[in-house]
Amino acid sequence: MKQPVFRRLTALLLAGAMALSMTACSTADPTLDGSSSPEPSSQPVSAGEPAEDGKVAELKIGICKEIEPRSMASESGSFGRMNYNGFCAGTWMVRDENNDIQPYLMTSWEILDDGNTIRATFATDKGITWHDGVPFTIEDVIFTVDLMNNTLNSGYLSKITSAEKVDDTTVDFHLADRASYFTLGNSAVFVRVYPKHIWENLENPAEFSGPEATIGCGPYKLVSVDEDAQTLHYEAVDNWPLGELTVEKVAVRTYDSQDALVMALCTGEVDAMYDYSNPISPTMLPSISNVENLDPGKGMNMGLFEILFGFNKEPTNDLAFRKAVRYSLNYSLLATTIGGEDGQIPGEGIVSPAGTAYDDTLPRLVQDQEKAKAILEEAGYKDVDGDGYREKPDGSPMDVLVTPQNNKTKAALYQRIAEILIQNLDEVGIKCTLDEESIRNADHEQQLRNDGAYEIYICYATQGVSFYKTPFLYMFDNDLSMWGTCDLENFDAAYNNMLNAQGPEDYAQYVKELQKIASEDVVGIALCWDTAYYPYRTDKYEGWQNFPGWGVINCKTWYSLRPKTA
Amino acid sequence: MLRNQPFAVKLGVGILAVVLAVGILAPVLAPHDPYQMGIPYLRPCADHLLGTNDVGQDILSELIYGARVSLIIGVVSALVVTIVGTAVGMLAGYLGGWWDRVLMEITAVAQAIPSLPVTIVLVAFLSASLWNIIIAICITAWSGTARIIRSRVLQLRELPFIKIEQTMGASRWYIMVRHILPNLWDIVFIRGVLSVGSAMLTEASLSFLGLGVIGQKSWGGILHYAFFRNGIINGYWWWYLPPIFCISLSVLGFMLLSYGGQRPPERRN
Repeated sequence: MKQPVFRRLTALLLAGAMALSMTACSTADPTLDGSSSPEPSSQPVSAGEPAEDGKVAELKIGICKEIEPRSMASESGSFGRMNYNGFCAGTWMVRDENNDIQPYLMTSWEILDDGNTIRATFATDKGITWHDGVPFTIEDVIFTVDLMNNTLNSGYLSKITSAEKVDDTTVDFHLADRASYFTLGNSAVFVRVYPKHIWENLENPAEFSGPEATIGCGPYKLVSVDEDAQTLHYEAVDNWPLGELTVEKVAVRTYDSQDALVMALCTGEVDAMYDYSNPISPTMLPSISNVENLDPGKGMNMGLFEILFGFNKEPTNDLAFRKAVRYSLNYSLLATTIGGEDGQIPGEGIVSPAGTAYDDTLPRLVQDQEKAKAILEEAGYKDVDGDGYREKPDGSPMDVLVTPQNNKTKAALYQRIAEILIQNLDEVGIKCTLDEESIRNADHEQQLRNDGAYEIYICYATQGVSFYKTPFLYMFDNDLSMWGTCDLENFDAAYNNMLNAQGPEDYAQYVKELQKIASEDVVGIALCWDTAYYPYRTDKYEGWQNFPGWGVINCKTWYSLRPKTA
Repeated sequence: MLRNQPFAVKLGVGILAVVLAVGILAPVLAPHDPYQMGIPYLRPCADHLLGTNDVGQDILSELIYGARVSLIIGVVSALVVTIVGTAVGMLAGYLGGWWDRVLMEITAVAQAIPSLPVTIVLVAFLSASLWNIIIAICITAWSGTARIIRSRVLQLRELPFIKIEQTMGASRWYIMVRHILPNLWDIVFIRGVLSVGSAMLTEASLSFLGLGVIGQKSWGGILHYAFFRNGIINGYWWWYLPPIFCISLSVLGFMLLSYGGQRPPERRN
């Protein structure tokens, strides 16, 4: 008799435990659960609740960049990437939703001396302090230029030859090559200010990784780093003078993959995602399209996949060959594979309609394999030995290497693009080989790129690069690019002119010229114009502003986001 | 021969016969060229019974051709593993002495190495080809078989008929080949058959991780693209479930077949 009683008791206890755990689960409503504890915690980021004073108590942001305390000062981690949003470190300038440069810590600027000088005023008289309490001064600005150019070897300010203090708020930047407009465009968003009192006495600033490396003068200060939970916690500074902050605290949590990040958005674990130049794949859209209170955050994308031709190699240095390649590819399939239902067949000018100075008069790409074959025949690429593949005009065998960029998170997509290219080129009799070594070995791929030894190279022009340097950067044979091999004189001149443009009109003129050269000389081929999706939740907050290709986490979020009113 | 076998073995043989037939007759059975690209992300329809993948390739055709790679890798790896494991076990067990010490030390080292990570590292270093994957799978997988075979040989060599052979002056190699090896058949068979399933699972794992032969159709490769091209998060079950089913069914087939190596239980009077 004892055994049945024992079993019943055990069953009752188990049932009780299950009931308790189910009750606990049922109260996990993201709007009711998390307190916004400022203390670091190894718990996952819990959903916060709006503060009662009309401000957001804690905004939860998901990101796909690792939190690595040993390289916090680096631009490549989540701390560095968040700073592109006028956040903790404090940037010189920001870009608005129209991609126009707007003042920030640099409150105004003037181009003088025929483009050889920028006279800039900084907000050093507004009472801004570094997060350790030391006042932000013009000496910090001058020190930043010296540090970035001479110690950190950063390219953003490389055209600045010297910085001269005019008064306590103003500095003259003297530049080489009349590069004022270029320097402003190239540095906006990316250049932060470094506190002189912390960085000036370091033996090796490039390796600096102490807690002080994260001290900035932006509107939010870093209060804790939880490496185990991969979470950063920030708090708004008191009395920020450049605008009223509507978000009191920010938690940034890193996810291993965009799949995990999207799931966190679906469940309400985070409120929005931020991933610089890395929107979720449009092919992921079906997984979120029916999720309540989740806006996909659709916006046109300046970034694009493209192929580069190796001008140091045969046959990719031959215009006829490049034209034949352009007629061979199935752009409809590429657009769907890369951009899902939103993917558009790109134009011959490469620059996307979202890009500055997009030339809509240039034709869209078309697949015409008969024309490709005719071009190849005419140029002497014939199948001499009857093996089904064409030989070079001199009769030697032709086997074109197709190298996809080595990218951990998008490796499968790069391989798929390469497969399509290889098959399409095979259809017109061009034998290609997939560069498997570069897929598996990042060092090999980088060496190949640095040596300019690739033949057909598949890469991605990021949103950030496309802002000013355009997708043509990767074709440009110069130290600025490090990748390019295009040695066409007209292209080289046009790109240099664009870099040295003296204003928006000047810049637009040269970008259009570059598009025309791309159309005529096939310096590269865009593979898809796609759409950027940066999903965000709409159930708790309002005032989101979705910057095209950037998302709702941007320089305006901190001033516009409000708890949703009933 | 099959008539006297239990139902499980018959079922295993049936499953494997189907998988083998699919692999051999792939060009006949596949409705499309598995490499032909068309309209991506099609749901199952009359023309594409399992829909199409992210570059418009017919998933059913990929699946049918995928049987070839999985079976070749599974069977060849199992053959190598079984031959090496049996040879090492027999030599160590029968010859004893320093043969035993050296071979068992090597076996212990091989067993101490975590097999999947080593296989991943090897595949990453070697250029990915069918044969390199087989080598990577075999490099540590033989050790379990070797140890079991050795134990059995240690028992066998003490039996009277072996002692008689030794007394009669039969050579060690003659005894091993003519008398020991036939008595190991059941163990060798079971280990060999189970190794096929194990190798198929390893191949699927490697391909899923993107370490398989790029561009070659295999079940693990189909799963790789289904996962990394958002098939799973979007709920495209027709893309990711069939390869899982095929892998599981094949492994089950080999497991059931392994019962054929078991001796029937002795009856009590």
